[in-house]
Amino acid sequence: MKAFILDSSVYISYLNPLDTLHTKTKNFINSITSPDIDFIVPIIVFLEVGNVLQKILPQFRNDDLLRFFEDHTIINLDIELAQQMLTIFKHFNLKTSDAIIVACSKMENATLVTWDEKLLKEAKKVADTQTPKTFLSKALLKRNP
Amino acid sequence: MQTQIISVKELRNNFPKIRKALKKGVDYTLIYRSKPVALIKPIGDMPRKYKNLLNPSKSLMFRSKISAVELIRRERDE
Repeated sequence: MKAFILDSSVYISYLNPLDTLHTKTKNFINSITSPDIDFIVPIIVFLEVGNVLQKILPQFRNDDLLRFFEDHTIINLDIELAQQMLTIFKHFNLKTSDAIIVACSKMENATLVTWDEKLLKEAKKVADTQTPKTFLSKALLKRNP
Repeated sequence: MQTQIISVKELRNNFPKIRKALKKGVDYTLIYRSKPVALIKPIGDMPRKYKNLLNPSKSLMFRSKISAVELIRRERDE
């Protein structure tokens, strides 16, 4: 089963139709989503998406966010996982929340998908990392070489 | 939701009628040699993985000209 971790920037652009990357994100999510793939969500992504939304949306409800992430595999942090992550953190220069997402991608052997160039550059050192746009371009090239 | 019992022979002989009933929401338990072997359900009733991701609740949608990357960077860099 192919696994993906979508960075918070991908979820947030998906939920904002005014975002310049919204259409590309929507196309990406619609194209890759199938029962055969596993969306893994580090708990930090869940929290970031929720925190951004509740600052913007007066009607924000936790239950709606839980439903949105239904069927996703949530990675909770515990001390054992944190120790493994610390050894991976040495390989790049990122702040802790970025580093947790990259370490999860490495540990889960998942493709990290982000719109954030800074995260992309560092994450590439240890994990398969792409933007939704490059992922779709490569997939299209594979189908029509 | 109704569930009806149907044999393989009935399925073979009455498929157009059964297809119409499936469209109306009828489920079937398929019997072969007096034993149930399958459930036949309208496809719309099948649980769809990631249905809430593909059709996010309107209550989660927002409109902002600030880019997603910027919104997340503010969370991470502040």
